[in-house]
Amino acid sequence: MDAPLAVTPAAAPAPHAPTEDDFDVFQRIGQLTRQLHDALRELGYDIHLRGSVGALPDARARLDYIARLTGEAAEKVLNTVDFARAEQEAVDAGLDKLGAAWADLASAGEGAVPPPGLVRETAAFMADAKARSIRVQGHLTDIMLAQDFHDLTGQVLRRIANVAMDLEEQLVKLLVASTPPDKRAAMQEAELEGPVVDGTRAEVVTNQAQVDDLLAELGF
Amino acid sequence: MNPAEMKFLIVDDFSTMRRIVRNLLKEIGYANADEAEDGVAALAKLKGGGFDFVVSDINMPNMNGFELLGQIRADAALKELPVLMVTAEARKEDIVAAAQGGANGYIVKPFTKGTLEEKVSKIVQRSGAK
Repeated sequence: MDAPLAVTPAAAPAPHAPTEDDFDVFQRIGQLTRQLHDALRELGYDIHLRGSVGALPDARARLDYIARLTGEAAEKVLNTVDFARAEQEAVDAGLDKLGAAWADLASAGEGAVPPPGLVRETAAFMADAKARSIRVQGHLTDIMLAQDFHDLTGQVLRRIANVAMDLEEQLVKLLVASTPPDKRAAMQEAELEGPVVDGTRAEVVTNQAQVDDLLAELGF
Repeated sequence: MNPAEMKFLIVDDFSTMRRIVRNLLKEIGYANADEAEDGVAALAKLKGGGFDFVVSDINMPNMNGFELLGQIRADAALKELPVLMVTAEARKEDIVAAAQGGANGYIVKPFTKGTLEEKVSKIVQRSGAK
């Protein structure tokens, strides 16, 4: 290998016509670059490194997807809890009001007759409470479904972990580049892709209606 | 058979998703369900008998959903079993492959309770609700 290059200060030099020394430096940089490039190619690292580096923007998109999905899930759960709580508070208020009236009646003794207004109000309250209870059930279902982000982001995280592992592996191999590595079989199995993080691609569907349409087109 | 008594096998490597599907199935009237974390575990349970419906993810370790579907369709005792794929795999080629492999339905995650109810009841009706 050539002697190491002298490091020159980074202060902006005044423009001047290239000297013979400059040409020499450029030439040596060019040589070094070529050597590094050839070494990488001979060792088969250039393809792997390119693959790993190429995976980085995809990993960034996937991290954005995770941030979006977890954010949406949190928002949905908090909103839904607000809705459910409002229903719960209304039922609670009704129970307090009617409960007090019925408690008074109960303490008035055996023969006490409930006033017609109280009976009507109680019947209306029960119908209202039932409707609210059904809505709360729906909210609980929504909260449960919002947890699907765990599956979807988990799949994406596994993929990003693989990219990081791959990059690490490539870089470690570069560090020990002086020792020729064993031949690495390019076992690039076609992998299942997981959740769609970029819905603008033509080869994927982005909702259930598109799945149904596709299957209908094919006669399924 | 009364559809409400059908026994479901939910296959997914994420326990969260298995619980979600199990809860949703219960809400829509199918309370009888068991779970498996991948195709290998699922196949072992299915071969034990007693199941009427499979809800399966695709992307799983050991044996993925496509392989599980293939094994089910190739098994004389299991080949008529309804299989609904519930998966994040949204590539058209995967959807077509599932249909050609003999899946009875395909739901892409994330999905709603309404979608699951619609697909399950359609498959139950088509299979004659036995």
